[in-house]
Amino acid sequence: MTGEPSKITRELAELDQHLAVHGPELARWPISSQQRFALLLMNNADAQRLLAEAQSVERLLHQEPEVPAERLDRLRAKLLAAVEAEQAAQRPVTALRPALRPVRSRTPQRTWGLPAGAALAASLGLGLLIGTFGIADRILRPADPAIQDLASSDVDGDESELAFGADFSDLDEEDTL
Amino acid sequence: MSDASLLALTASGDVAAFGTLLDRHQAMVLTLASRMMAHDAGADDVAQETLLRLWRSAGSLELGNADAGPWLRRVASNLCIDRLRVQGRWAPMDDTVPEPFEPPTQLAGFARRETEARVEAALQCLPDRQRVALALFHFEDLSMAAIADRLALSVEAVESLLARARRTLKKDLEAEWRLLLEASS
Repeated sequence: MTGEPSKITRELAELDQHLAVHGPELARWPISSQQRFALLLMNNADAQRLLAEAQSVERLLHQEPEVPAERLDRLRAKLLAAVEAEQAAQRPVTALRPALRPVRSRTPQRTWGLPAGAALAASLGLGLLIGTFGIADRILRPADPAIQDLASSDVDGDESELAFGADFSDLDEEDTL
Repeated sequence: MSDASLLALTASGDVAAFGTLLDRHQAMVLTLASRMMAHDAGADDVAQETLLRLWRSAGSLELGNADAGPWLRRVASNLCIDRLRVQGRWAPMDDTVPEPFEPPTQLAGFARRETEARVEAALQCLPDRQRVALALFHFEDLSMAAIADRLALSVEAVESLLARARRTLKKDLEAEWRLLLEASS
């Protein structure tokens, strides 16, 4: 007779501890605990009272307090301002400054990858080479012999050909004017 | 319109769609942050950061059929835990001595808002670890193992935190829960 009440008391204490740890929502208890306390909760008034008390505490916790409207408004205004600032920061720079001109480089201009001094020296060398070997004559000389003949032919009678004639000696001054 | 659709619009820069998401979730985020942080200024900062992350993550976040609530709760609770750690309020387990709770002076006929205020006051008096563990259990519906993982504690430590928190609340809010019990019976 004395062992039975103490067993119930012990089981109630264990249930109380279990409710403190896992809460009163039986579905969230481990399966083994659900099976272990099922009979006690079904038959014992004290066990049912403990469960009902725990459920009341739980209901209190789930009563979400009403957040003051001005606090929500303040939060919303801050967020929208931050979002719009982020959007503005992400817009392309050209959209904000359409009149931008290309910036000239301050570094010396290069020709074919050479510095300006090297390009000048190369052109000078090329000029000397052309002058020394008469390359220009060969290049500028007409390839067509008919043209060569025309250039060296007698120019008498036509003033318009004076510029091409080499011999001015036998012409009057008037003819040269 | 679903949260997923609003999120897609938000990703394309639609501020109005983001505003609708705010209407739906900002009160919940602020409430959760307030319960975990135990002071309003920090809670406001956490809520703002959480909702800004929603804006910034809109393009990559995949909600499927779910709403944004669980994602927001997870982000908010993580930010709260980080802040409590940074602020040095993450006291060692054995040093968590609850502050004395002042019993309610006027219990009869109190309004719902007064009850909410009492509950909030009781929650704020809990040590940070207990309050955060309770919030993760109740408002994020996390399992013991998940809470232990989030808080970098053992499952046994989490069970201990939750048990102490519930016992403290049951004692401190006895008048309130007894009234609820009478009303429901």
